[in-house]
Amino acid sequence: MGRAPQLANRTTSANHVDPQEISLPGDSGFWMFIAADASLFALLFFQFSRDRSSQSVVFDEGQQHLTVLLGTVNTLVLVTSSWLMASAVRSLHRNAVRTGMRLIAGTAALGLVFAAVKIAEYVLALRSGHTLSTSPFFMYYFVITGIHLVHLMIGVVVLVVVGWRLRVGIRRPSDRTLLECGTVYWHLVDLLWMFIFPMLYLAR
Amino acid sequence: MTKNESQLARLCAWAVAPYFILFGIGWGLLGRMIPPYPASMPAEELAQIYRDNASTLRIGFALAAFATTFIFIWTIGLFRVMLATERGGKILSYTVLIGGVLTGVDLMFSCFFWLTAAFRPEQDPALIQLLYDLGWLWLDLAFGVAMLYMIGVGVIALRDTREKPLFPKWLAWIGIWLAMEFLLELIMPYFRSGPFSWSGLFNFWVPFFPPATWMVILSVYMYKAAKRLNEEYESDIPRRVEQMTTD
Repeated sequence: MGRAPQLANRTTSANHVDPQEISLPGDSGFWMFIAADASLFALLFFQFSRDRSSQSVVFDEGQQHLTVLLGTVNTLVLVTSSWLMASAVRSLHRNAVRTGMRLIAGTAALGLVFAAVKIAEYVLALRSGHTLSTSPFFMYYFVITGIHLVHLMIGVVVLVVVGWRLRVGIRRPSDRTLLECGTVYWHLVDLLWMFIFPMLYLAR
Repeated sequence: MTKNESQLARLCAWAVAPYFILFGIGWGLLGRMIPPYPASMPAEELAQIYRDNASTLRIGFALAAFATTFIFIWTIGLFRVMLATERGGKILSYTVLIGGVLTGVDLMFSCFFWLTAAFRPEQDPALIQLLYDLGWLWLDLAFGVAMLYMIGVGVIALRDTREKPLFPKWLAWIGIWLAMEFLLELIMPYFRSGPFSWSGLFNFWVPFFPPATWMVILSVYMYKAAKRLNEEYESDIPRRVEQMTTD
């Protein structure tokens, strides 16, 4: 059983929390990346809503071709993965490296499940003749979920790197930053889907 | 970084000003590219605009093509600062050099396509449209070269272990994000109108103006970094002299 003293979080492992030591998890500059990314999605959602309100019939018609069940399954998959990731960080802060590694592997596996379901949905949509250019609804559907899927795959790669570093026993301070940045990023991927799912699949 | 090199690098950082001024006037104002004509515009209508404004368009694109010279100057300065900042094998610094130079080439060539369209505007409207399309597809889809230098700068800045880093981490992260955001251009060829077309929100306003602002802010830090790198060099002289005398 490996020990990872550097991974232990100063602010949460001690009972006494020094206000001077409270900081954002991960690299503070990374939050600018998160903010920029969230702004792009906000802009996409804004543009979607604007176009939707001007052509609500086309959008409602397009939405009927989506399988809400698959979207719901993917929502549950992502929420569970986020919970596993949060548990992984907690385990690592307790120095339970093996449990943490397993939880991270579980998170990445759920990420792949999400991707597989999403790709199945794309195949279904393409088979029924919907593409990027068939209707404004499907343009937004493919673009927004596509960008989200790319985000998710990047997240899976980051999780694999984090897991691999833990496995081979490389424990540098930068690994803690990587773990925290990866976790923040994974939660962002989850959070974005919480907006995308109701917006594309449910809202009328 | 020696005093002379530091001064030249700071001069290179200033090249961002003539670049944006000349390119802004040439490409944006005289070249009528802010915002561009949509891809859905009929060839006849586009050709009429090129016929009516041929002389200003010619001056505009010629000026804009020349303005890219300042990107090359700027890149060389950035490259030297990156060489001094980067830890290890310097491979990323060369990536920045190649990426920066090719970004200038990318911009320059697309200006030549539009200039060619304005050169004989009386010809077949389909040819005007063809050159106009080629200019935009070339400019937008060559985003990979800009990614090279933006991610290169980002990674070098993040790996800087100085107590006070030469480039702020947030600037590095924003650069990496902006570079990744260029990937949206991949879907641009599917659209002739709408937010993802070359004149739309996500493939014109978002990938052009925030990266330009980032480039200006980067230049400010490049200027400061060149200054600090010289101070580091000067303060290191006594140690090197001592080393030489003991050898």
